[in-house]
Amino acid sequence: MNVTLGTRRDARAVATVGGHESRRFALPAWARPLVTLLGLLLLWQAVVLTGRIPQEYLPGVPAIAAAFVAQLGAREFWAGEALTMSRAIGGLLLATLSGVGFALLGARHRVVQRALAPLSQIMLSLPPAALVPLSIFALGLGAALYTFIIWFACVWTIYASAVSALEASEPVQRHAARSFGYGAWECLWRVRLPAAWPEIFTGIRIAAAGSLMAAVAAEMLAGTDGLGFMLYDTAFSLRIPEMFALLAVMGLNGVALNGVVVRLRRRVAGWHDELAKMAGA
Amino acid sequence: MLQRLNWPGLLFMAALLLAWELSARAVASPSYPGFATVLQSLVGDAPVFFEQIGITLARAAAGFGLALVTMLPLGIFIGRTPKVGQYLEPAIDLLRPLPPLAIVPVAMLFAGTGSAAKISVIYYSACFPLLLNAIDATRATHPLLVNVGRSIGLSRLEIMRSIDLPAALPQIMSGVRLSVALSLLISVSAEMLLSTDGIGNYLMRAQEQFRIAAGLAGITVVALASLAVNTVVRRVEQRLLAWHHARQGLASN
Repeated sequence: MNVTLGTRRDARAVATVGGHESRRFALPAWARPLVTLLGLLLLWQAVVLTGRIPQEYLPGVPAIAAAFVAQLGAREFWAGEALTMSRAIGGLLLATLSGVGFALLGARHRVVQRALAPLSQIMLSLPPAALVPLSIFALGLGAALYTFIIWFACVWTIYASAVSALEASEPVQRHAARSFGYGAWECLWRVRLPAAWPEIFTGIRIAAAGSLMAAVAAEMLAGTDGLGFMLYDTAFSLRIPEMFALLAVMGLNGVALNGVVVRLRRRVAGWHDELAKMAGA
Repeated sequence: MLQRLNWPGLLFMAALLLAWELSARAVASPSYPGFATVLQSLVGDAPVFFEQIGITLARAAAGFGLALVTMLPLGIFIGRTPKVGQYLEPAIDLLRPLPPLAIVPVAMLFAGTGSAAKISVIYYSACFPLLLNAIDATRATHPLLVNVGRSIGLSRLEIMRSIDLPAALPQIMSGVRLSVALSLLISVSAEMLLSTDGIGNYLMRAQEQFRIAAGLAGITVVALASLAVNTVVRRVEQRLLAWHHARQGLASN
């Protein structure tokens, strides 16, 4: 008995190494997340049905779904969604421009990079939310506040990833560029930056998640408008199904923004993946 | 020693602080305090700061600790058992995009505004880097190691503990680094939203009372604390992974 079990396991281990897994009751790959989603919803509903938690606080799946659908028809919701997303994306864009810009400057002139090192280290470790109260004094409750907070939440991550990506450019490429007669800036712009995009995009993806979090946090703290404010508002006024529906929207926003960044990455740095595939084959 | 100092960095910081101080003296308004004023309130309020940052750090540690002891075994288990992973990983992907601070209202609903609510938000945010890195690292463990473990008769649990855990440790530690930083960040932010105590609450009170110098001093305390924490984590990592770095050094020689 033990022996047969052992051989079957080993056979599977070998199969996994080869990249082909032989399974007997295999669901197609696209169906698995659906099964998981269904399982989670059933689990949720089961918890609700036990009645241990008051329905007021933990509404059932149908109630949340109804709130979700109702939300999709509400103008107020779309206004909040547009505000939050435009704030997050605006801050992220600005942070990408300035983060990559300063990293380029630092790659060209070493002094800039060394001068910025301690500052960026300290700023990277500061919670963006901590800056909200004082920023409200300085910038008011308008677009400037959100732009600053979200920019701050993103820029240091992007800067750090851009610095390390530009640093890692291959000497062979650099020498080749020089022997083609490229100047330092040209080399940076046409050789080192394109080579650095894949890693920079990793930073941008992390920053994108951070931008949504910063947007929601700032909106909760500033308390005027946007999804973050709506979330707080629905929680305090005990409109709980709407609160959970808003949470679902925030999750979907995260998925959507991540999807956009991944697609952009494929546009800008898709050649890299193809190269990696070719090297692997 | 003197040569290893980052002179441009130090000079730039000094220049920034000087510019701040001089411009503040020029403006001379209580809503724009200079560096010296902030330093004064930092020193003057030092006992309060120590107490409040202590509360903040303790909560961050509790949330992170809980995440560590639950997510590390779960991650290794999922990484080692692909059949479970196929169904659990989509669940992780569904939950991950939700910004941790967005669950603050939910935590408030079920746990009030006390430590339990904050620690559960910290726990939620600290889980993902740990879990994802543990899964990835376990999956990347060289199959040879696992097969050796099997052939000397280790059980599944023993393989997870004495082969997967050490083999995955380098990557797990990078998850730990992210997770610790995130814990502290969320701890401060949660205190600002569910203000009862801690340095986040201090920042909110400073805003309400228009004590701008105190607010800036509070931010400085947060920055110093997280620098200290990150340094400690990096030290621990070097200690724990000494064997790994030693081996990599050998390999590259």
